[in-house]
Amino acid sequence: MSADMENEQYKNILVALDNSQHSTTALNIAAHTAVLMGMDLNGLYVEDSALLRLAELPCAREVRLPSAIDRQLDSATLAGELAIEAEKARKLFLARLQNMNLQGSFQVVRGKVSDEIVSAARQSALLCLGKAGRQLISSVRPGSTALALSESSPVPVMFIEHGASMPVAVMIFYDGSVTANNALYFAARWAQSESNNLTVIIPSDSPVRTLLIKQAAAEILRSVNVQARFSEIGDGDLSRLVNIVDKVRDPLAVVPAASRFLPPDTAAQLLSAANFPLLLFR
Amino acid sequence: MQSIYRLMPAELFHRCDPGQFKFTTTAELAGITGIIGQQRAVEAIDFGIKIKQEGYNLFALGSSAIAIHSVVKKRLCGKVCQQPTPDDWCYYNDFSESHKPRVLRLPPGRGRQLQTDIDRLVEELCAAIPAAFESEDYHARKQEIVDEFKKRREAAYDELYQYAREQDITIMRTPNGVVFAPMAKGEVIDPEQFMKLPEEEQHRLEAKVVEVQDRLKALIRSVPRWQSESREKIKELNREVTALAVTHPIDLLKQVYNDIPAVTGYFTELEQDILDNMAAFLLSSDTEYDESEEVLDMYSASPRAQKQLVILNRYQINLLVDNGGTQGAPVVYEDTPTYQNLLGSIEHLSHMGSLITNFHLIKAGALHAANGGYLLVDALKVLSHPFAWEGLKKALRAREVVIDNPGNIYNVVSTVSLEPEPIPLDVKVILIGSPLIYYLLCHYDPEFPELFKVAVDFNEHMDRTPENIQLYADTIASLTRKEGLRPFSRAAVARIIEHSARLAEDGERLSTHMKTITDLLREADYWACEQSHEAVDAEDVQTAINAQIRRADRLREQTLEETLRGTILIDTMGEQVGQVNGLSVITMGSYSFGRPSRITARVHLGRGEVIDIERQVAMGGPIHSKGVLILTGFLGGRYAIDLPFSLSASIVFEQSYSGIEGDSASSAELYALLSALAEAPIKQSLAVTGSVNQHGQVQPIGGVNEKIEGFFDLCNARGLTGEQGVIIPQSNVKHLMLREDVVAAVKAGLFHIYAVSTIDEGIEILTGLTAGMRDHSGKFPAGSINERVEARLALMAEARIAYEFVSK
Repeated sequence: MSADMENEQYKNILVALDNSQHSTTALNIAAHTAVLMGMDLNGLYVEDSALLRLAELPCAREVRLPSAIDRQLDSATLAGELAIEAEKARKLFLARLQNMNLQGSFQVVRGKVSDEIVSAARQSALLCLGKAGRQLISSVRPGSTALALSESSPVPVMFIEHGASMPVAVMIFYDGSVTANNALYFAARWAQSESNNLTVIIPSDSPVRTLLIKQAAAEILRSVNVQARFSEIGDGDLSRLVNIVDKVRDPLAVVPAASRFLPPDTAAQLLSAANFPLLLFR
Repeated sequence: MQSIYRLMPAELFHRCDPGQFKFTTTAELAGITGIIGQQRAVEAIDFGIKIKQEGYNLFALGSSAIAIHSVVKKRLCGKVCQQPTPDDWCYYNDFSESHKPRVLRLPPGRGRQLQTDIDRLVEELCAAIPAAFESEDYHARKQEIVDEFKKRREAAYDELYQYAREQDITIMRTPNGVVFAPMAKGEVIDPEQFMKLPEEEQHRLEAKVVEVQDRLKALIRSVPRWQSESREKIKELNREVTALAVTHPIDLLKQVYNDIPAVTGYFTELEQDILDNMAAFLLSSDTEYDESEEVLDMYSASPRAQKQLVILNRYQINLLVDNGGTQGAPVVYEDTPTYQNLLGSIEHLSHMGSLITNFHLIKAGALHAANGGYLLVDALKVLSHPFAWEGLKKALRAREVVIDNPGNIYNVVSTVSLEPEPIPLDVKVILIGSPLIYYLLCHYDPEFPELFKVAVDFNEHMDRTPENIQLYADTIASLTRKEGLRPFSRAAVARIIEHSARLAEDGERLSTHMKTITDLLREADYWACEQSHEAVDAEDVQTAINAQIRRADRLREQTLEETLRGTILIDTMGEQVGQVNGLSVITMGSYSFGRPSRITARVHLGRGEVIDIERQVAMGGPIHSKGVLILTGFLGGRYAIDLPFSLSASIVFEQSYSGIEGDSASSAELYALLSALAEAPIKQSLAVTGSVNQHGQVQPIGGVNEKIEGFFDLCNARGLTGEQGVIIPQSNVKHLMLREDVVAAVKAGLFHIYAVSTIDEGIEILTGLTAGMRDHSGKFPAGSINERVEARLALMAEARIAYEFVSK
């Protein structure tokens, strides 16, 4: 963690679960990260209040999958089903906790999903969640919760897609900002703990600024005694950034959510384009 | 008078003069390749081989000692080389009906070649097909198809979401499905707020929800169809890519086998099946393949190392008959002609507690191996094995071999099995068996004469002509070479020929039992070796003969011993009325010996019947009974033409405790009867053999040598008196091949052999009295045997008439 983050009061990682394949992968990677960083792991399942409210509507009908048979939905039945899901998530979480010999707790709350996660994440150093929830189609599109949290998460948030492996190579976009400094500290520590495989990607809009940014990064890395490779991308070239990361085996992309060298909707774009774990720093 | 009938020593043994041979030992002889003494059989074999019509199979009948197998094989081998080598036969997988393997016929040697070619093809395809699927072009095209499907699906869902949004309907996931609800100001409409809406508005919103819901349902139902279309496209692509790898090597093979349309046809089917089941080839390699649903079940459970083998098994042929190394038509001898060994079988493997099979487990039978050639089978063996005879006949009738499990007929075994295509059959079956089996089959099996039209009847003996004697010597030379024996001296050959005549029971014939002769050659060689002789001499042959007898004559010795001890009552001196020494032959396996038996007759007044006591107690066979009944005819016809035949007589083989068969003792029985009637004693120093007819003519019998030797041994053991001898039928003289010691005793005047043609001649020798012939007045001379018999019978007739008169 960055020097600032080292002083943070909260030393735990929060993983949001919804029993989707993505969230299960997120749990695995969050557990590994907790071991790596020496943190506790907390789990959270949110019973969607909007869904429960919707079930009270007389016109609310559910099309069951995969049969496509429809039925009248009622809030009591739905509440029961959500409780079952919550229990399923709890068992999964506790099993992983025990398996990885971690400390932590599991919490079930009811409310608007993104709000409840934001609220719980305020007391964590890092938030992990699946890139999408349970979807109608198999192709991965960022879910509404992921998109909301990419904008509103108060802590660094890691989005994980189903099938991702535990990251080995850390690829960080560093622009010299305070957020980027925090991100670089985090990335350096990860690399140090895992495989010393760190690549710093810096913007190359002008030679002077590039040099300065590189020197700043080098200084931070020297301070934590970590070696890194450097790579450059053109101003705002998100696709180049994705390509560089994509070519590496088992990468973790660490990116400031807002950078003057990147487009304003970087978070949403990266969420859509990347199929590797993405850690957004805000 | 006796001397008229006494035989000279030279007549007792038909000597073979070694001087007639121009060789010193058989080493000088070239040997012989032909078969001697079996011209009829050889002609029948040649005829059977050449005639091609249906049903002309052969049955070789003869004694087992003739070595029919080797004779038939020898004859066949000389012929089959000029006949065409039959084709190879294979079974291959019928890809559409795998339980019905199909048959493939290839020129000899091409079956093995095809097998090798398919091995190579599969090996090549196991590399080429995965390589084709690893190409970038394939992956790009496949990705295009996958992407197209994904895009189509996503576009449809996007459209649905867009439409729902436009209709202010939200779509949310529940744990088990999807739910729809109307929205207001970007949020799900509050239930209380909804209830406050006018009813009409509520219905409108509900209708919107239902409409979106229906659209989703339609979409969900469409997706599997799109997926299926996508899969079909991938399949088509896969076939295209597979064809690229498969077509060329298969086309090359088709060119190699373009002279055999059935094989090119098989390659076409094989190509089609590979295109349909290419997944198996990908699973056999490291190629990633995600269309697992296309993979054949049998591949999915196998470890990768076995998958290539499974593929090979699917496409490889089962080379049932390989005639690649055969020259001419095959000659197959099946030693164990069970149903399976004759007609082939379908074996099973135990797998996870079940019995499974495939067309590679079809095993050929002897009929397959002999197809296009000849099959030799022992008749008795084929008849002894369940279903074998019926199976063989069925195959010959249908002219095809159907491989099935005979147990299925009785539902003994219930397993999934195969129904292989029948194989056309073109074979000559040669059954080998005894005459008895041949005639039984002719009599009891109506199909037999239709299927085995050619009888190969082997002679038991051959004429002892100078030419045949020379051929015999040549055969001995061949056999000694074949068996790796020492050469035989001319004297040894002569002794073997003499023994052969003895085996034939005829001084003017030779035995064709070459198996027995071969045994004698081997044993004589052994004794020659024991004596360190370079060549086998006559004495070695004699030692071998003596040793053979010694090994087998324990019972003869015991019988003789018991006679000498007086347990078996046989007189060899003195005279007795109504008692004569008969002679019988006992056969124990391959050894026969003669045994004297006391025959007695008693007469008394009766109704003209001769009682055979053996028959009365069911110990006499039909031929023996017939012989006794003939006596009644003789007596009645000669002595009681004008008077009622009023004799009642009983005849018995004394101390006989087992069955008696044959009529060779009928003359002895008659002598006993005549002696009893005439009250003329019979010399017990003589023994008699020979059958008799109603006219009193003495007829030949079998085993004359053994019979004479049997009585001689007894007399010799008690001490030869010069009075002892045997009376034999004149017609048996030519059969005499007596032992050297018997001939020597005769030469020394210590023993005599008399040959008679009529009962009168015999009775004169036995009683020393004249038999007597009727004079011009029809009377026998006074005091002659016949006169005494006639007078006795006349007295009996008168007594009977008087008795019957008084009784009335």
